[in-house]
Amino acid sequence: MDELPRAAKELLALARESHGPEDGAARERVRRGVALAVMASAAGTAATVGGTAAKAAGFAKTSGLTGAKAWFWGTALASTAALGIATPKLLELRAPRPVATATTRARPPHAAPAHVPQANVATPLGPEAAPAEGALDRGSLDEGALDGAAPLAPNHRAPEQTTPRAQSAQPATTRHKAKRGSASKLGRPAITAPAQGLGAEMALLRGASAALEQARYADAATSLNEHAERFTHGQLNEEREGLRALLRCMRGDPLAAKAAERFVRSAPDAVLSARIKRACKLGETP
Amino acid sequence: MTGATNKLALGTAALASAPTRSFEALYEAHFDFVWRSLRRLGVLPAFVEDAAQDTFVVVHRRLSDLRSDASAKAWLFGIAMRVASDYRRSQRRKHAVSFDADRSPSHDSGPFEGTAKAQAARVLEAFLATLDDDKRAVFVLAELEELSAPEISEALETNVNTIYSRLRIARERFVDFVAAHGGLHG
Repeated sequence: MDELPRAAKELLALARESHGPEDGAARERVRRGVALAVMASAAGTAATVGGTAAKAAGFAKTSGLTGAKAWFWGTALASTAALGIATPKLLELRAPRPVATATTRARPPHAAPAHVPQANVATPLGPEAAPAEGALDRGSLDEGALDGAAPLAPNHRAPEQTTPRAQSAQPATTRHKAKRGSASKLGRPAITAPAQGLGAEMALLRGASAALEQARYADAATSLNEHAERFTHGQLNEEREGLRALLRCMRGDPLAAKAAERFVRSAPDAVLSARIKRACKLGETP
Repeated sequence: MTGATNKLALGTAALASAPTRSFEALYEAHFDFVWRSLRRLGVLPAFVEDAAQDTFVVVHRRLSDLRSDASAKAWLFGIAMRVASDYRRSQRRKHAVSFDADRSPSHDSGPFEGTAKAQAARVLEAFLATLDDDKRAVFVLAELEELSAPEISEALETNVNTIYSRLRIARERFVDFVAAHGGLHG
């Protein structure tokens, strides 16, 4: 192929780095939105709080809040009030969606998602879950939080609504209007947590996570112990043990480092592993 | 990256079946590329953040499809293309301009690099708006992202001969466009 003329080459050289994100925070916002969407998709019918994941993702972007399982185990612990902030806000949303970013910006309607959570399940909120809008710190998605959720593809399939569009790499955003949960005003859970199932597990571990963030170690331990007792074969046992390892480090347990090392060795891909390594001052995993 | 490091700790058997690149590593390495690609594929600035999110959600969901010997950029671009296509359709429905094509390239050839870059970006964007989807994709990947023909072929799921043909046409039009708009010089 012939060489381009000089003027064309010069223009390309100058334009090559153009059109990138101008806002340095965009990377983090998108990361959080993705985490939320992944959580909503992974949780499927059982665990999505009563609201649209689309609006949740959008809300996450505008307010800095997220609620994804992957985010939850990585980010929530680094984002002091995030869990408490996110949960009540998510509860006021209308219907669960796997992903979207229904921000205040005008947004084009989009292809149907590959999977759409059906159920609206909220989790009970303690008084500590009072929202503090915008208080979300940078999450730890850069520490492999989403990697922890990566196994979603091979071994944790969210319920899929296969449509012709879903066969291709359609974005998972949706305009699907899932059924409404009984949306509540901010701060009041619309639906109580189920007694069993993934929603219940998440409620307990979310409580533990929030307690850790607030240095309420006894409360965190109580929640973790309850999870261990009720969910011997739970889906979030790895997350529970990760939180437990983190709790021990944060509490200054002399045996914390050993427990943390065991966890990291057994679950190197866990969302919490990076967080635990840092909190427990572990060396790099070889 | 944590994900990449952890993957190395897995046994060979696990690696054979597990994705060899973690989501986080892909995200960190290629976020800007995906963003640029979406913009160059016609997603308006107001929507590109949403489009980027949508793209990476699909990436996450389909990560196990990414072969160890595949070009990550090519694979990501393929996903971004489909996302961008949806956004462009929607933008057209809302009568939004898919590119800022109404912003004609300025002839302001200020002495500062930032101005030159901005002008180059405007010229580029205006040019990309004149191409059809196929040629635009090839041009972006070849001339801006400098992927190889086999990588582009992989990204666009099109044979290499077709890639070369489209690229040749796109380049010819680019040369004409730059000449017609005076390039970077007034």
